[in-house]
Amino acid sequence: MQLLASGTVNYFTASVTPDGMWLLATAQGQDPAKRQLLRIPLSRGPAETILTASGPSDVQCARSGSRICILSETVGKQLVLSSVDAIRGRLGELARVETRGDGLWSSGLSPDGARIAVEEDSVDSVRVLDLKSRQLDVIHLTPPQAQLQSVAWSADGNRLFISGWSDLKGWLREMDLAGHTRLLLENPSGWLGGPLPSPDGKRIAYVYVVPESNVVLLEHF
Amino acid sequence: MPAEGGKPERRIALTEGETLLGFDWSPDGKSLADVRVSGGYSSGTLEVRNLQDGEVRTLFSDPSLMGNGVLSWLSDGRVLFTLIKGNGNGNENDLWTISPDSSGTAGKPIRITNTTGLLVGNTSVSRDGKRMAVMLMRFPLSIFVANLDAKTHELEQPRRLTNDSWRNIPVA
Repeated sequence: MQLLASGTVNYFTASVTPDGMWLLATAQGQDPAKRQLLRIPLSRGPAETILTASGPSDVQCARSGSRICILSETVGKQLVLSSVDAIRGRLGELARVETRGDGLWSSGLSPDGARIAVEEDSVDSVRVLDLKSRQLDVIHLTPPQAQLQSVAWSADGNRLFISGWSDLKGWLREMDLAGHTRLLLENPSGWLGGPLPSPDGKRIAYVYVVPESNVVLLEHF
Repeated sequence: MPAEGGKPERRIALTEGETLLGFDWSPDGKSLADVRVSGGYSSGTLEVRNLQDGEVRTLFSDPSLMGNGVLSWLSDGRVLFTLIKGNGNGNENDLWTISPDSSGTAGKPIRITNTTGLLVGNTSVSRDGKRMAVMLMRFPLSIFVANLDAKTHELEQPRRLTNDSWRNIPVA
């Protein structure tokens, strides 16, 4: 295991550029309203700021078929999607998606970089934007799920993995693009999220909270 | 409601959106301490209610009171409560006390614990007030990896990849 970056900033999202040279990351420094887009050389070296995003943001790079990296950032009540390059910075705006404006959203770039799925926390649907045609499809989940929290594409780009929270349980579902979902995993004792399928589609990584507790005795308080 | 039974009487009335997080009896049984938070959990209030004359005294108000309702009125008169700390995700807090005196004013809160990454889940104080059992919890974000069955898409053989107290998130 190799440490790529550390420090006092909070790292939120990170993605390896298609050329395998850089890790792009979004991080929050002193100002909680601002996020920085950083580039970190995978050959090791200091992180450098590419640009300062306007608010809650994330960055994702395509894994195959495209060399695009997309920065999603909150500007007012819109989610602004821009293509970015580790060296040249922001290349251009691709699309805008209306949101509530609270910054509580997550997005998933399809492996080929052609589509991006967007969910907003506590909204019961997923929006899929075709970045070329700009067509926006709203997918309602069946059966309905209200507390969506994160979204990721399957390796073949035909399905989405969606995590959420309801009845004090975290859950992970897979969904086809017609909205049919199937429960894959529940966490009855805490949060479950951050699905990330492997590029070959054979495995999936996810976050699963395993609560730990101890009882200590205090005296002289 | 009287211990021997009878008609219940409403002692705490919340306004719309408010939540009562916790309450405890005073050692003499004449008052209640409670923590209530506003709608949206933007502010919290620790207060004492005299059950005889209905007087309500605010001991402390702070947004960090939006915790899990741990509240205990100790035998020496201090009120034990928790304050959220850290990045505000609600998974870190500490124990504090405050002393309501007979004049109706309260002193400054005094910190009892100073932990990192831990949440006080519950407390139990001995009758003489000299010892306290504290349940400390933490909620690490652990990364798991599972196989995806090619045909059924079922998750199989999940295994834990990280086993520390960090908030781990997988990225690629």
